[in-house]
Amino acid sequence: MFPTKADVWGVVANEACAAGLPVLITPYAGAAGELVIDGKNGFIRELDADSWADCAIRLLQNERRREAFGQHSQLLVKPYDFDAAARGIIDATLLACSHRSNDHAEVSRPV
Amino acid sequence: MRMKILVAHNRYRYRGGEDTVVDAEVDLLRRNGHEVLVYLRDNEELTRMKNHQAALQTLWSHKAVSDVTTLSEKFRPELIHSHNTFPLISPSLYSVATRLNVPVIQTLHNFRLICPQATLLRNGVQCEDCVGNLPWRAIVHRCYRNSLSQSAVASFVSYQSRCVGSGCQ
Repeated sequence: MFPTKADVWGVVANEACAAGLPVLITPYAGAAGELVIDGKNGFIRELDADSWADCAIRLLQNERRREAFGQHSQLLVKPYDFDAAARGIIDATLLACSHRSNDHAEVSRPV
Repeated sequence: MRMKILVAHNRYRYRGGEDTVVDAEVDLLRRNGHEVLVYLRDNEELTRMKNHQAALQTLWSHKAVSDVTTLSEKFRPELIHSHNTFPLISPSLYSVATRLNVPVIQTLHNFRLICPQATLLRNGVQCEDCVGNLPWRAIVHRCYRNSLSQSAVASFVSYQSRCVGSGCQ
């Protein structure tokens, strides 16, 4: 359950998905609608205790649906792995280093 | 390839995911043989500053310029990896990196470069009013902490970062 009022993303949702769990989330997290798809691997609900309790009860009482949601969570979180994160940093580093110009260097550098 | 990397990060007053990821990445880089120097600022410093001093630092930190210049002259980084630069490191980091001819990679932990309030949400609703535009609407709507003056500072920083990045400083 991720009852945030504002979060740019909310990596805790990734962690829940990686653990094969359904996620209850507010629309105020960046992950809502992208990593957590309403009705597929969790529920996106406004901050309302009754509605959250209702979603939780529905999932707890339906093991098949809970498992299907969990499997879907693992599928959706797959692209957000360590390799992808490292690849992003490596690509950015190679691009930044290839753009460096020596025209304005003030610090002399060993070759 | 082993690199010398200067990691720059402005810590939050309440430790969060960004602070954790900076520590984890520095540890990972060091364990893989890279030489890492960390330039840390901490929002605790804000408690010892007057409001106008904090605003000036946020717009352009001369301290960050002199700190990073001194560190770079000794350490000679091949790369600066910045995480959060708001508010105490400020966009002056990018300017000093350009002057020292050190390439910069920036991990975007939020949308501050395109949204002064950083979440692309206004009153819980998706908002892209400032994306690709001068971010004046964030001031009118007091998007940052519901404060006119703080929103003005945040908007200027957002605009300034885009300028420094596109080389129009």
